[in-house]
Amino acid sequence: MTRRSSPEYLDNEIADLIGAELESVWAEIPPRPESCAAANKAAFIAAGVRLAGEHRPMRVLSLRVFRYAAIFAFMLVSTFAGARALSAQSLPGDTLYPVKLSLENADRLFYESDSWQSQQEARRLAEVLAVAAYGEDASVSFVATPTRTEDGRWIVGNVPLMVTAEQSLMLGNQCVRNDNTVRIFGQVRDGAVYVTALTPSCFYLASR
Amino acid sequence: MASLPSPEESLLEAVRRGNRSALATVYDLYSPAIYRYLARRTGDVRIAEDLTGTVFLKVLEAVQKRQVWTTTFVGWLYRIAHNAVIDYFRRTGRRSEEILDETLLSDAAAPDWLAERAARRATVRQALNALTEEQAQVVLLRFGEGLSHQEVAAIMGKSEGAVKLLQHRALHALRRILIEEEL
Repeated sequence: MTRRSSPEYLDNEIADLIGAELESVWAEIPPRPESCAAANKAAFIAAGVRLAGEHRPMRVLSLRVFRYAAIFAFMLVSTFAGARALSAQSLPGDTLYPVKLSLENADRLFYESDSWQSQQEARRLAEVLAVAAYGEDASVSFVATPTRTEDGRWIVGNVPLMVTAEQSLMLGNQCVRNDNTVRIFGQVRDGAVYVTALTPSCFYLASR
Repeated sequence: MASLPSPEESLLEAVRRGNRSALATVYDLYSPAIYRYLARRTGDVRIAEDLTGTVFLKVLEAVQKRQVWTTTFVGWLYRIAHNAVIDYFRRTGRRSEEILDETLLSDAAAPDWLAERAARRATVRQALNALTEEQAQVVLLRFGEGLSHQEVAAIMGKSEGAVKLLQHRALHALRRILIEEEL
């Protein structure tokens, strides 16, 4: 029980005495304008919704993004692997052959080296020989070391090279450095390669 | 065993998720009291409305950051409001209740009893203005808002004893001024 002489009792007594007067002063404040209150409430709700959106757990967002990214990556890898598998056996003249060359060009970024380049050149030559063996037609560009037969014709492997007299002279007098290789541009037709242009290795090696 | 969340905690959890209904409920429940407190402190409805908006925006930010209150949710709201008022006065260089003088009635043609009442209110206002800022704050929170010593102490960041002392001095100062005026 509060004693009559205690500060708390005195405070309550004074508060009782002046409480009504304090209330009357505070009551002078005009009532709250409804329109302002409604506008403030609307702003509060909008801010609450916005802030909740900003603070939404990242886990949910990242899971969704991760799911889409995984699907996209899977489709990308599938497409890439499928195109590689389908085009792997293609030969010059096939529809998928440009895809095969594009993928090999992409591989160049990761694997390029002298041995990789040699493997590629050997592969191109094998493709030309295969096209000629199948008797198909195709435009080709490949590196080879032509050899001359006893009757004066030029061959690559077993495939005859159809060259002009000037080209034959160039092949015969080739100033290539060591290996007598040339880059041959031409057309495979009827089991032979009809040469349209020759580039001695001293040029194409320099421009590689 | 985990304790059940209080109704306020459940409501604020819904606010945290951006539930419109919960947001409206919180505003409807608590904004009138906060507005009244701010209006009494500043004496200006426009400023009080602005500060009410500021207070509730701070509440939203605190709720999103999962800040917790130490006493009651209402006490926490008053503390934010108190800080908003202090900031406002610091920014503008004004003191609480001074503005009430600007709305003082001075109608010479009013009846005697009205003029007497207006004069009495003016005396009370002057008495309030004569208090220190902290004393006026304690008087308003204790007798205007009906908060406990503990809640006022939490709002003002003081001990309960310090609040009781402030209240004691404020009431005695008010009584002295009012009695002197009567004499």
